[in-house]
Order: sequence, then C-alpha cells, then structure tokens
Amino acid sequence: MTAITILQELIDTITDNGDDDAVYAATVAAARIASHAAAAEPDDFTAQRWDFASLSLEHAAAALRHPGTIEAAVHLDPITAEDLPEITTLLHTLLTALLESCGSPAVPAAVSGRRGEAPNIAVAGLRQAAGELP
Amino acid sequence: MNAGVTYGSELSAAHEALNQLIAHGLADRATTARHSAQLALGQLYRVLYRHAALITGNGRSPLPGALAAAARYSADPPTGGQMAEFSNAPPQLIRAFDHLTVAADILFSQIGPDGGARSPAGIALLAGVERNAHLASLAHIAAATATIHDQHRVDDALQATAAVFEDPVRRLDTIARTAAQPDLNSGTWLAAIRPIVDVSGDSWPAVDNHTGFREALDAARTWLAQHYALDLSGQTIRQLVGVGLALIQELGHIGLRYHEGLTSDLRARHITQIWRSAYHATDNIISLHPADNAAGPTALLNAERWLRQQLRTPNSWRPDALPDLNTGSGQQWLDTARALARALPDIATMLHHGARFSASHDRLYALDAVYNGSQLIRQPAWICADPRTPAIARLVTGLDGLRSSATLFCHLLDVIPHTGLHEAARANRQLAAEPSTHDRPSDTGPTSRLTRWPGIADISSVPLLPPATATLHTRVRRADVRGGETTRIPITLARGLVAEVERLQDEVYRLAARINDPESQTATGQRVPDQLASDQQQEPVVGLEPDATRSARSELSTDPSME
Repeated sequence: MTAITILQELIDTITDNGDDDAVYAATVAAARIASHAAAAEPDDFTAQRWDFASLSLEHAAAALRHPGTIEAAVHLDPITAEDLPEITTLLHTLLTALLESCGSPAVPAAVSGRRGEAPNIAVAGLRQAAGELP
Repeated sequence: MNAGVTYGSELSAAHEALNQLIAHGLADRATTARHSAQLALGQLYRVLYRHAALITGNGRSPLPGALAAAARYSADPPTGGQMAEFSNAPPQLIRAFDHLTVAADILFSQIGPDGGARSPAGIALLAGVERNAHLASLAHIAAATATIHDQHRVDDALQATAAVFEDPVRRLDTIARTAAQPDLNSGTWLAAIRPIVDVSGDSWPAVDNHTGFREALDAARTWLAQHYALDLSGQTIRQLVGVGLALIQELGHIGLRYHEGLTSDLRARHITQIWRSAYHATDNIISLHPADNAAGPTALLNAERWLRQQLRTPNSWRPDALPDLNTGSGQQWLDTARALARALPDIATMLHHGARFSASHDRLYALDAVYNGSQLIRQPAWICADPRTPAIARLVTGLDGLRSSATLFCHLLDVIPHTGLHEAARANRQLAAEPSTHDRPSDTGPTSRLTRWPGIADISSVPLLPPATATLHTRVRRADVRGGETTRIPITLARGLVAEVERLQDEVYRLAARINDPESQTATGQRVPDQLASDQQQEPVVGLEPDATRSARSELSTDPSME
C-alpha cells in the first residue's frame, strides 16, 4: 500500500472516530512515513527535517503507548520523490486531525493522562513534528 | 559531581604530596609521630594495593604482590581508638592517602561489587586497556611511599625492624625503576576517567548547557554499559538509533561550521544515510517489556532536544547559533561536538552488541511478513525473533554499520573515541587499525590504538553483569486498559522458561488466528499454495495486527491457565 493511500485512510479514520487506539496507530504510521520520506528526499536539509519530524512523532507515540501492548506496524511501498509534495500535504492534514483528536473526549488518555504528563509530551511531539515538516 | 576530579588528577596530587614529604623529611621525629607515620604508610600501601590489584586483573605484574607484602610488614590498619593517632601523621601523608582513596573510589565506581563492569570505562579497565602505563604510575607512587618508609626507618632506633621491611620496600623501588616513567598529565585515557555518572534514577534532568550535555552523554553510555547485555528492548534500540540519527545530523552541522575535515558535506551525508538505514531496520522490531523512561535513553533524548533547540528553528538552522571559532563560545561548541563524536562509537557498539544479545535471548519480536517487492506474500504476524530472522539480520547489519560510521566521524573531527566496549571489541580494533587520512593531534597519542594498547585483552574475557531473572509481563486485555486499570501481571521466571512460554504462546496465537480466519482454512484445515495468491489480495496491514489475532492474544494472555 502506498504512503498516500495509508495517509488518506488514516485521516478518514481519525476524523470519523479518533479514539486513543486510532491516534496511537496513526502517530506510529506517520512517524514511519516521515522516516521513509527522508530516505526519498533528494535535498539533504529537507531530509533532515523529515528525520526530525519522524523522531518527534516517535516520541509522541511513545507517550501515547499502552504499557504491554503490541505495537503498530506499517508496511509501505517505497516512497518516490514525486510523492513527497502530496505526502507532505497529507501529513499536515493528519497532524492537524491528530492534534484535534488529542483534545477531544474521544481520547480519554490525552485528557486525563494515562501516565502523568504523557499527553502533554504527545501533544508537544505532534506540534513539534508539524513544525518540522517541510 | 565534581567535574574537575579525575583519576589522573588524584594520582598526581598524591604523588606530589609524597614528593613534598621526601624533599622536606619528617619534621617531627618523636616516637609518637613516627608511629602515626607508620600507620599512614600502612594505609597507603593498602590503598595502592587495591588500585594495582584492580588494574592488574588476570594479568601478571609483581606490583600487587610487592604492595601486599609491604602492607603486611607495616602497621595494621588503625582501629577506632587509633584514628586520633592516625590523624597526627604528617599532613602530606594524610593528603596523599585521601587523594589515593578518591582515585580508588573513581576506579571502583566503574566496576560493580560483583566484579562486572558498571560503565564503558569499567569494560575497558577489565579488558586491560592502558594497563602497563598505569601500573607504572602506581609503581612510582609506591616507590615514593617506600622512600619515605626508608627515611623513616633510618631514623628509627629500632634497627632490628630494618631487615623485616627491607625486602618488600626495596622490591617496590626496583619495580618502579624498571617501569616506564609515567606522565599522568599526558591525557591518557585512564588518567582522564571521572566518577561514574549516577544513572540509577528513572529519568534524567533537562539539559540546559554544554556541561549538562556532556554529562547526559556519559549517563547514556553508562546506562548502556549496564543494560546492553541484559534488557535492551526493541523500543529502546529504535529510540536510541533515532536520537543518534538526529545527533549525527547536528554533529555534522557543527563540524561543517568549524572543522576543515568536513569541508565537504558528502561524507557527513553518507554517514547520515547509514544511520537512517539502521533506523528503518528497527521499524518492525519490538519487545514485550519496553523500558519506560529509562535513564539512559531519556538522558540522550534530553541532550538531543537541547542541542536541537540551540541549533535549529523548526524550519532552518539558526544562523547565529554557532559563533566564530576564535571566540570562547565557538571553541565550546567545537568541544561539545568532539565530545559527541567521541561518545558515538561506544554507543553504536553497545547498541549492536545489545541487539544481538536481545535477539539471541528471545527478547525481540519481529513482524514476520514476506514480501516480493511491494506484494504481500504472507500475512504478517509477530514472532519471537532469533538472529536468523530476516528483520533481525537487517537490524544487526544496520547497527553494525553504525560502528564504522561513528568511527569515521571521529576521524573527520580528528578525535579518538572514548574507551569502552568500542575499544575492547576485536572488530573495532581492526577498524581502528585501518590507516586514517587525517593526522591525529599530537597530544592524544599515536594513530593506531593497537599501538596505544598492545596488551589489551579480548572482550570475551571481560566478565559482564550477572544474568538476572527475566520478568515476563503478560499482554493485557484492551478492555482493562480502557477502564483505567492496567492489568500487568509479572511472572518472574528463569530466562529459558520465559523463552519457552513465549514460544508456546505464539504457537497458540497462530493457531487461534487460523481458527478465527475462515479464509485461511481448507477442508483439511491446512493452507494450500493457492492461498498465497489470495493473501496477496488481502488488505495489507496498516496499524495494528489483524483483529482476530489481536483478540485471540488478548483473551489468551489474560487466561490464568497460561500462567
């Protein structure tokens, strides 16, 4: 499945029913996509920004993680440089949806705090990633 | 922690105090003063013996034996009632004893009470790095002690004791004369080691300056040294590689600004690609016992976060972040970059060793999916991985590349990596022996570390931390988590039993998944080759594993009968 298809599905899922499982899975997926986009990015500095965005998303996902649960996994078709502009746009949309979901009652962990300050870390990670995206 | 205190500085101070006493002689020749001096000399021999015995390890050196003999023929350790008398000894002797005690504490903080390494420096100590040079340092301090002992004895009216003392004291003098003249200020590795950074906490304070950054690096290395052969989880490996990737990019940025070795960014870019590949190799590797907020990764994460804030805005490098090198601040940045470059090879090596260890001890799970290009051939499922699992093989290969790439960065910045597992591992020594195109700074020794430490032992001889009992956390039912109650049932089992239980669990999960998935069954209950084609038509997995499998796992994992 291509990154673009995955992102479109994730955006739909988060917009329709952004519960905490969906937010976690989408954050992990976004992190993996950003990481693979870095490898496809011809410009070195932009590639670094993808890397930093991926790292921030990983931190956000770690803050959202249930202790003891199996992690999400994402399988991607190779990303090409031509896909990058659309992926960037879709990721911006996804991160916006994720940030909105993190503040909604549908994500109880993000409101009440599953592990103390974890939601703040997750939100900060998502915001930082949004800032790093090209 | 006093950052200024190093092993070398304490030894130098002790030597200097003893030399002062040799130059001035014992001022007070009263019997009570002589007895106090004898008490202090006995203590000096004992603390020197502790040093020598640790540094010698399994190697052969006459020094520990000679020191033990000298201590045996000296006064017994002062008892509680004699402490006042001990404190009346010449102040130079007391000062030398204090400095040697601090130096011993620094050494012993690197080696745990079980004899296992507690830090990268501890690994190197046990491996025998710089053993001969530092035994020579101790021999010269011991000879100075023996000289004072000799002066004291000549003044002593009880000449009968001279024969008893003579052998061990003369022996120390002979050993010191045959040893190479040490230079404790030469910047050798052992002289520079500092007290261990406390990494026992669950977290690490936020980093807000260059010193904090270096301490966080030390903490991360130390944490890794304590954990890489025990419980490095897949999540931790991914986190550390990701942070390492960011640090490499920031290091490259600083290096490009300050160091002519990086005038072309092509090599820095190549190194970045290696770390990025390793990061991708961790995509589908997990452990069931992730270490939440472990001190080492947290320290490294905080360090990277501070560095990123200093160097970058969200969209660009800060143009004013790195001042001219001629300014003190510029030099500070270059020193920080060098500290980072020196730490990375050790971190990379421990990650590589840790991943191999975890994989061979059934600590890692990999997503067992088979692809032909982008075509899904086999439905993925989490399996307990071993080193032959393709995902693990990719991971280990990727992490192996980090070691050489981190060493290459050291070459580019003209620094020698920190000593630790990196130096002790045979493969890395071969790597280090490869000729470098860059000249090394003269104050850090010759280019080849094989030349620097010819007597280094192989890492396989280094006793690592003792095996611990493993803790298996059963997977939890999602409904329990949603309800706010996390059911986490620890089962402490022997390591082999854990592996066996997990293997059986996975077998059950696979069977349950097949039972719940009617498409995967035939009339005989067996999969047929045609199904491979139907697998390709299935929806590729995005997000979590198949619902049926997850459901089966959740139910089974909370079944008390599984415990």
